[in-house]
Amino acid sequence: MKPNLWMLMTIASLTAAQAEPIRVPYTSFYLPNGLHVILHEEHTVPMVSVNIWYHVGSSREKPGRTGFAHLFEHIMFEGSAHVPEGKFDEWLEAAGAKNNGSTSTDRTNYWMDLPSNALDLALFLESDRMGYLLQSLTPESVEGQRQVVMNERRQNYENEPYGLASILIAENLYPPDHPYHWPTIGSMEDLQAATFDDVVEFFQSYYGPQNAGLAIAGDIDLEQTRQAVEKWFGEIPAGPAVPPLAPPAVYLTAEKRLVMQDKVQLPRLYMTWSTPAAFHPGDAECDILASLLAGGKNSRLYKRLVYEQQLAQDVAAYQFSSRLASEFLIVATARQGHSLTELEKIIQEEVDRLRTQEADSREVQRTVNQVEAQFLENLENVGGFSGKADLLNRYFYLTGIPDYFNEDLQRYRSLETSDVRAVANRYLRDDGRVVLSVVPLGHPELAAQAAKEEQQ
Amino acid sequence: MIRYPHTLAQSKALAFSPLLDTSLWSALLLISLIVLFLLLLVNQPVHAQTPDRSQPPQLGPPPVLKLPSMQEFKLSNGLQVVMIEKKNVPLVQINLVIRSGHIDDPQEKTGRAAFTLDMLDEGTTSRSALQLADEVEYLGAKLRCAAGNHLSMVSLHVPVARLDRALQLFSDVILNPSFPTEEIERLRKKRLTTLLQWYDQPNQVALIEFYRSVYSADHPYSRLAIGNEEQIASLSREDFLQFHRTHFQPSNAFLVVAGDVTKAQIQASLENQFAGWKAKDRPQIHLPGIAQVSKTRIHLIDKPGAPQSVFRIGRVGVDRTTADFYAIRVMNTVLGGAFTSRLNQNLREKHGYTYGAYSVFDFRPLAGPFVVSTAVQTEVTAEALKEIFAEFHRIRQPIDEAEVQRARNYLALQLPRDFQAVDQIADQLVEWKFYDLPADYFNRTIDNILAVGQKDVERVAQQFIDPDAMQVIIVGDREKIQAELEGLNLGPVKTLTIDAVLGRKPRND
Repeated sequence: MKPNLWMLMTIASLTAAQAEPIRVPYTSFYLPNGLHVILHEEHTVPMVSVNIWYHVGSSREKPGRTGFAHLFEHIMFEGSAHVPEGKFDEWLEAAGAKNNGSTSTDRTNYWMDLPSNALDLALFLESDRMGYLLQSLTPESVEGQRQVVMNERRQNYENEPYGLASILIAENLYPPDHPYHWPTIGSMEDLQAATFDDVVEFFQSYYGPQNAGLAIAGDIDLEQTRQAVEKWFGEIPAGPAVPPLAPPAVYLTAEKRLVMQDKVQLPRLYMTWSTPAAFHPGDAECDILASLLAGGKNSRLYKRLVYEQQLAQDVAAYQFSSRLASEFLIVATARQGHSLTELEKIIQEEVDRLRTQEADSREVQRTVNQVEAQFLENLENVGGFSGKADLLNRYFYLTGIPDYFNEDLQRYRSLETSDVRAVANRYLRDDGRVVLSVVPLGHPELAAQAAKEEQQ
Repeated sequence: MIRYPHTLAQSKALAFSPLLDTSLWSALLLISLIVLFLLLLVNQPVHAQTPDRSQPPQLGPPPVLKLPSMQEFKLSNGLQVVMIEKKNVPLVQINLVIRSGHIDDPQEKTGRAAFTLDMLDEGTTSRSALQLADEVEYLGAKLRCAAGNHLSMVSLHVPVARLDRALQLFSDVILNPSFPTEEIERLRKKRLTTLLQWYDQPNQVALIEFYRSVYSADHPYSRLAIGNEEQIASLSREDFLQFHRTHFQPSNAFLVVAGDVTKAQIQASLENQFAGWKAKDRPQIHLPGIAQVSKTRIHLIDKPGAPQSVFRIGRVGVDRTTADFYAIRVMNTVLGGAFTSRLNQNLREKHGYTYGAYSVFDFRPLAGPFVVSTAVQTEVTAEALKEIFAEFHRIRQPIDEAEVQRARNYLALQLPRDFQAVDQIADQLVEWKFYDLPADYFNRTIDNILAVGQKDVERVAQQFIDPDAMQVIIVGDREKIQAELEGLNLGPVKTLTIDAVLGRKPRND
């Protein structure tokens, strides 16, 4: 970035009070069985978050078993040898705790937020399902969760307008042998096909302590907590080593254009590129590019499509960062009377402009300032999704360093406008993207027609 | 993929909080400290023990939540301020609350409050919409303007280092909005398009029909705050100016502050920004009474080919000031307010009909709704409805003490979660101030929840959950489900189309 004098003054005044690095002090250690443990002491409120990441997600699924990692996540709440079915949640709620879990392509996480007197209960429950899940598991409880997950798919994908778009995009962005090719929710057919033997094999392959990270944050005493972790988790034997994934390259050599008809009133355009994996060079630049395009009223696409020309009801851009590869996505919904061709034309112009011209330094600084504020917000909650315990585990899994908060923020603070342009130029290519039009049933004419075809 | 839908975990209207020690807990804490001291005297060797998994660990007494005290003061123009200092992260949240909202809209001008609030940051006498957005974002701030049923709120979230500059923007949108015509027309188009998109959204269709059938047409609770096509089309700049002129004044407002500032600092800054704001009278509104749903009836809205049926089931609940506030919350936690609640256990865990089922009492100044929400596989629609009604009957029967205790603890002991982030703390203060709750409200919350007994739960269940007077809304594939729904004999089944619920589609091009 090349700030002018005015910018320098403004940045100095804006960042003066923020100069202190953002740090989340922690203690970490491995148990002999390979479990990685992170402890963070913080007494703002008398609660503790116990957060565990198993380093397995849908990217480890076998052919014909898509959706299995997520189905397995549900099964983890069905009880274990010393926790009868149903008691996991009952005991937690009786202690005043909330808990949940989620599955992505790369990992499965679980958290319990409890009053600090209930830490031992959390460690007992979490260690019991790590060490003794299969002893009590029945085919009936697997069947029950299979039905729940199929309803989750109906609710969030099939009965949701535009709900199937993300599945179609991934299928076309990644080659069939790439582990991001299939959706984490899985197909109905594969969910039906999953067997009890699959459950046993998956647990034994991926749910050992050596493939997990445990983070405990909040109102704790470090030494006592360390002893408690050793007590509850120390007896669990290590599982087999999990070999690294070796995915094929994600490299589209041509644009793929798709049209999907859906029960929707308005057509929506999705433009997706494959971009650098989380924390790899180019990843932070893509976050900034997304914000330049669609973060706020003054962003380039919002301003033109929604604010000025009012061709679109909404526009959004994201960098979805994952462990093996990321996705850069632009989504815009056309207003009545407008086609996706009109939207695509403007989107194309703005993507071209990002590739050919450096962004205004104030534009970039505005984005970086918002990122800084978000980092402060991330320090407020110890638990839940994206609380400090979850982020410590995330940073450890993706960078090897639990307290990577400041380094992460520095990625954005140190960006130059020329870096941002270079990344746009390298990754947001016309000949390496998936362009999906979702149009109302019976209206394929509303889909985006490629500009080059029109000229011919 | 999340194991459990977020909506259930957050019954926002209910979340309220404790603080400070209760006498019982202090005593338990003292006892536990003495025990700990005695244990230390024994000087046990420290090494990893073998865990006892024969039963869940016995827990010590719950910890005490100590919150910095609330401070209240007035600005020179009478504007009331309530604040909590919180130091650990350099952020501040400031909310301006106007004690007017959707219910103050005359019927033909439904949507006025919401539209007015949306317009506040679309231009002031000295800044354009784009300038405002640019300045707010440049400060790393968030500025939100939104109307609710009974209150309207402008909220600011900002790193403390940039507070003073952000406060200038905050006061500017509150005091000097200019309602530019071209921005009004832009937002009008956006709202009409939003109405159009509802045709795709079964949850939205169900909710609209639910409010309309539970509340009579002359009550604002029967309508959505955004208004319908005609109302949106007819609202004018003069309507917004009038709402702003009439309702935005210090005697009809209060401020809430949470974060890394001292009272002295913030008082001076707020005085600077708001001292010139003068009080006026505001007109009182008169609302019609609210009648209860008279008998159980089913409105079936056809969505051909839908893989799931979306349910909203309920009736008129009760107002926030009810003496049964805590008893109802505990009862609802048992019925459908937690993962282990009966509705979720039955429909999700036992039968696998759904991804989640939950219920909520939406407490408002007047009797807000009680509503059960879920979405079930089309093929089991009738069975699922039958189970929901079975739970309505069962909650009125004598209840096991362990189940009540779990619900009490769940409500009372998770409350520290809501006092971590400055925006959460500000939400607590808004509710406290808006309802004029007692000074010791937070201190008494835990005791009040823990005092709810089995008999209280039975009594409020019998009073408020009446299976013979429930409004049932289902959005689903009529052809596949209508006959079985009629076969349940719960009440008459009226069929509608989505177009009949939403009216003709707005044209907006």
